[in-house]
Amino acid sequence: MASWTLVGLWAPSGVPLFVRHTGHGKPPPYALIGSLNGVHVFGESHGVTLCTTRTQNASLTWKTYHDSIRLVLVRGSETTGDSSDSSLLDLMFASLVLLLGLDTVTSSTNIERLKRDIRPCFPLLDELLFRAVGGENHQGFSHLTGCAECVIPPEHHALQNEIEKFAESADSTYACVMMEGQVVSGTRNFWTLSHTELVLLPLLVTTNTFTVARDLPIYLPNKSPNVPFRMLVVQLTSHVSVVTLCGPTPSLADMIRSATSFWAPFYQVLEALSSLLPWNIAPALLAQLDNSVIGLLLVNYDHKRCVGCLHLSEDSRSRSLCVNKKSAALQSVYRSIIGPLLQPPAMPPEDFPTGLHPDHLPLESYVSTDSYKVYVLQSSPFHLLVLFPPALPIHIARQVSKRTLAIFTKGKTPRL
Amino acid sequence: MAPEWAIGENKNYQQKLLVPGTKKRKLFGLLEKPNLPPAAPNVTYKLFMFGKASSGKTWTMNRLSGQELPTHHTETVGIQCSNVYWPMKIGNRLILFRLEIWDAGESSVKRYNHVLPACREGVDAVLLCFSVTDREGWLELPRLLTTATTPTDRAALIVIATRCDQYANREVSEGELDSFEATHGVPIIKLGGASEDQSDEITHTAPILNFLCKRLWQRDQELLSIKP
Repeated sequence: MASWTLVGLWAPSGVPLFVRHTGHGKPPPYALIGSLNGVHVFGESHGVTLCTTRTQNASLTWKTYHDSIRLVLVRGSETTGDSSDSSLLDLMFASLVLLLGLDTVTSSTNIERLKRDIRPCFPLLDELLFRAVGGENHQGFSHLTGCAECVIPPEHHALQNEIEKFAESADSTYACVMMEGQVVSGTRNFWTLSHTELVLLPLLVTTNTFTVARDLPIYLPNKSPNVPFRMLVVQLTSHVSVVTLCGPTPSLADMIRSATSFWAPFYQVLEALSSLLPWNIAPALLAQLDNSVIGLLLVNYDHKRCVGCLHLSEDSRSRSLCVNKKSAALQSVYRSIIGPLLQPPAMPPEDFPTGLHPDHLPLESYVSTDSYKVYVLQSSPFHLLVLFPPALPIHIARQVSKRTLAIFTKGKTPRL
Repeated sequence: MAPEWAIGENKNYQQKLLVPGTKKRKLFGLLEKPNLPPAAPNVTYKLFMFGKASSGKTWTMNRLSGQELPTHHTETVGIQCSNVYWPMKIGNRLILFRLEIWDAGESSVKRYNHVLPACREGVDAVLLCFSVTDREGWLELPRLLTTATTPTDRAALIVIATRCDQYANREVSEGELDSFEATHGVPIIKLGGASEDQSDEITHTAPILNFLCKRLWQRDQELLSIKP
């Protein structure tokens, strides 16, 4: 079991702002945090930027944002750092901006006040850490893929028109229907939000699921880092909620009223969506999947969507691999293959080692371990990771993976 | 007006509030409500959680709505709103109460000026929260009491004392609570004990909800009788 720690410091003075820790063990003591910053500052004074390092039992990543906030990520008992650590830090910083606004985060004059201001961000930061560490009930891939986590509903277009109309009635263009943290359907403008925003907004919605309505003042880290929006979240059924990004109007009470009357005729449609849980894909697609497929992750970088299915073939021989392990397997394969080997079509990392590749671009890859096999396919703009039991021969895995990709991508419109 | 003894809880219908087959309370979405006889009228009341930061407002809200209780304090962002359904018998009639509980985070109230008015608009009752482990909060309570309601909303006022199970950290005595109740004429509900058997949460919460609903119902009757 790994442990992950996030340390936030005020870069100009080195004052620690917060420490979030998840996994086994205790968070690092104050003195160590000081040294973590010290090492970085030492490099800086010699004209060197320290980005990442590994020790015998940890991998560390530093990143400074706007010369004001420095984040340090410490991954204990894991020494394979990779590019996803740096993008995770970007998401962490964006989480601060999301709830506080860029100006508050970067040009604070009162450090004590900033420490207090940052506290409401903890649930979001913790959720990201939980997901990264692979905690129970915190499955998800959006923080890795940079795409919104989706479900593929059977009657996509019925809801599509309604959500557009609903957004219009609320004087907004950004709205989506969500189920258990996954996007079911969004307005056209909703999908113009940046990758970071599409990852963080659904996460923020899932950090508190015990309420029927919420009015959250938020900033959009890329689109609007200094002018707040109001994110109105309304729980329509026990699983389905509708999220709208609004200006000063309508008030939450008005939104509750209008959402109730607008969505009441669609109650059956919304309630039927819960039958997609926990598979996340429509039954028609599910029926076409091969029995040997025990999990999959499909990413469409053009549409900024991804879907993860972990509850496949649960009744058969794969019983030994629980959902948590499946999620960890797919995550670890994603981290080691996508980026270093297969180029993500939408988000090439800045420091992508182009020299590393020979003249050809790899299109397929696989990872085989004692407890699972994962086959990875690239077909622009898709990445598909398919999880198989370890005994399956790899040439069959390849064929099944190709057929699986066709199920999702062939037809008039791709399903994701 | 129904006499007080005729207002009572209705155990049979409380089962309808649970997730079938469990003792966990179901979270009803806006489009849903408990499956009660259609003849039972619904009455909706808006309640506002008022109190200092970290006085246990969100905890109380989740306790009343029967949802998972937060184990450590995190500051609420923006406004959150919960619906609590509660069937009551008034006279011979079954009535479904819907308590809309509004709660706002302290820093959001300070930073955004739309938050507090939105919570206060059309409020029927104010639940004033304070923690018995916070002496300063207790001393401030009389002042908060005067600002909790405005004369125009004529909201019912109920004080909620949280963290009553933390005997070791307690800084307000039982006697002080009693004399406060008497001098200010407001009822105090004592809450605490997150560790209480969650499997039978509804039995523990029932007396509190009965009390709140009764209070709101009586306030309605009083307001009706004032009107010409």
